[in-house]
Amino acid sequence: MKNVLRFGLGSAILVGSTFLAMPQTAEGFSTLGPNENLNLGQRDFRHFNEFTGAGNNNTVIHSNWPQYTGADLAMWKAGAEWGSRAHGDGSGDTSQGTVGSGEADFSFFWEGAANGIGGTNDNIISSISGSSGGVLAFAETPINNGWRIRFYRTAWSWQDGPGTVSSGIDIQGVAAHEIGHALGLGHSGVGGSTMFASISGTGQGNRSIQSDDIAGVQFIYGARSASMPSITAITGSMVPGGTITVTGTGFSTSTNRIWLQNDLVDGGNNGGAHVTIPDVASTGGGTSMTFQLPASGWEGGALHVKRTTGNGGELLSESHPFDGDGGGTGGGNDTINFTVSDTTPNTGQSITFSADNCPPLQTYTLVWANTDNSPFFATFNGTVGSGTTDSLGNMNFSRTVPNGAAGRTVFMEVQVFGEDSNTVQVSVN
Amino acid sequence: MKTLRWLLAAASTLLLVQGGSACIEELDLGQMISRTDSAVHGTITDVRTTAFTPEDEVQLIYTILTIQGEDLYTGQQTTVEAAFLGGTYQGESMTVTSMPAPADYRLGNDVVVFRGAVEGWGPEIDHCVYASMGGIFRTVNTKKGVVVLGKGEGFAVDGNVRVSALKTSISILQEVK
Repeated sequence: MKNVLRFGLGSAILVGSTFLAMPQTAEGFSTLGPNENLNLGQRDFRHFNEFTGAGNNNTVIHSNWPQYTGADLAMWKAGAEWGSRAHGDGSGDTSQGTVGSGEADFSFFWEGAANGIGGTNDNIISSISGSSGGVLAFAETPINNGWRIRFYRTAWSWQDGPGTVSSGIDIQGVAAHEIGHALGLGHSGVGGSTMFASISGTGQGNRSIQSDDIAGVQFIYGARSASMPSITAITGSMVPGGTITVTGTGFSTSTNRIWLQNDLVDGGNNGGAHVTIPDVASTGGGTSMTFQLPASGWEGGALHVKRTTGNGGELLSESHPFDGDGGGTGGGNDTINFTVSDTTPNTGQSITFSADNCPPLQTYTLVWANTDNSPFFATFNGTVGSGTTDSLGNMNFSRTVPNGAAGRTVFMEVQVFGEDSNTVQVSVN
Repeated sequence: MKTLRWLLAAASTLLLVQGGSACIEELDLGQMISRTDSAVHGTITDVRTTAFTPEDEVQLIYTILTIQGEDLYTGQQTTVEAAFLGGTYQGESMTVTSMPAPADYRLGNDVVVFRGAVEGWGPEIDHCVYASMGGIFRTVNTKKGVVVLGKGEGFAVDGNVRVSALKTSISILQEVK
């Protein structure tokens, strides 16, 4: 009995010691849990951009990444790196050969801008001010119903690249790591992998996922299926109502779906829903599709094809650059010019919201988005007012700032006939 | 083969629970010392949570640890608090990838915690567990003394080391500093 007891205790200690020692000796990817993965309805991601200075000063647009610059572009590339195939021709990041290296049945869908941090399931990357306590960024879990990523914006010297980052911290590298969490990965014990727990130097090396990261995303979603559709080119008239042709491979004979970026910019769920062009037939043995773009509601940036025969992640193609002009504002493609007479008003002061280049003689709605649902203009549902644009496509709307708005900051925009304006920040004294 | 894959997954998930998850900068011991004002070796005597909503932000939940023991920077006995983001407060949970593993901060654990000053974390918090999961290390008693369990490459305590040796290393690095 004594020997049995000793053996048992010894075994327990040995097992315990093994667990205790494992973190420093273990290698390889880890996952957040067996059910932590994103279905096709959770592939969208957006960025609420509050970075300033070197964190948001890249103004050079790259043809493979149309309509986005600054920190937005860094976020887009970070997500695209996990994609099933190269994004477009894979170019646009001199620090890695090809952007789009996951080779799994998985691709994110870049939905562009958000104007708030969103809820914990809204798939928005945003930032937070104040002390970081030594943490660069974090993801909120669980992720299977959506996620939220926060960067400690003011605690670090962030850099948006897009080239070599020699000082500060590279947004794209850290984003690639956090987005790895968002798709279901934990940390890897393999030094040099994107999902390694700590970043070295500027973190630029994290931009490019490594073999262990690829093994991780393939473990969760499966290695890329041979039947996954792929896009090689988009040609045609990329304007509202225009006709375009998408060429590639693996399209269904009929009822393909085209995913475009929604032009709705919000800090909640609605802005993350892609615009779908349904029931698109292919020709040439699933290599070509010609169809008409919607008259409104979409914007340029990225396009995906979703085939209808197959299962799960293999249905959705990699992302492909789409330099269309849908009139939306999720990217750098603003058409409605929205302004406010005073961005730092006092309570009791009348301020005027104005816009031009709107669709003429259409109903407009002036809305706000905030993070805590505090009242602004005494409304709780986000709608401040509405009216009709004039024959020249202009609108003006005046309102007195109520006392209840004191000390609040809101982000205002106007929505007209399916199009959103740019967003303006109003901070009440 | 499929069974093997799931066993590997289970093992790797267990590792995550053991090791936590974060995006932190790589810190050697010297860098950690330069960013913190104390490193306390002692017992976690209290674990509580609080919620705070910064201006124009959502509610944030923090876990606050009370550690009673020796400050390895000064040799003084002390009782201190250190917080990290994440936890469950009044039925609401905030789970973030920067949190230490639950096994790291259980009540009664013997740990080494590196503490740094923070601002804007609410009225109850003025110090954090620096780098969150990267700033707390469990210890175990061995025949040769109390050993701090390192967390691997990139962490301030990367390998297992006796507390006495860690204290010596800290002293040397403080002199260099």
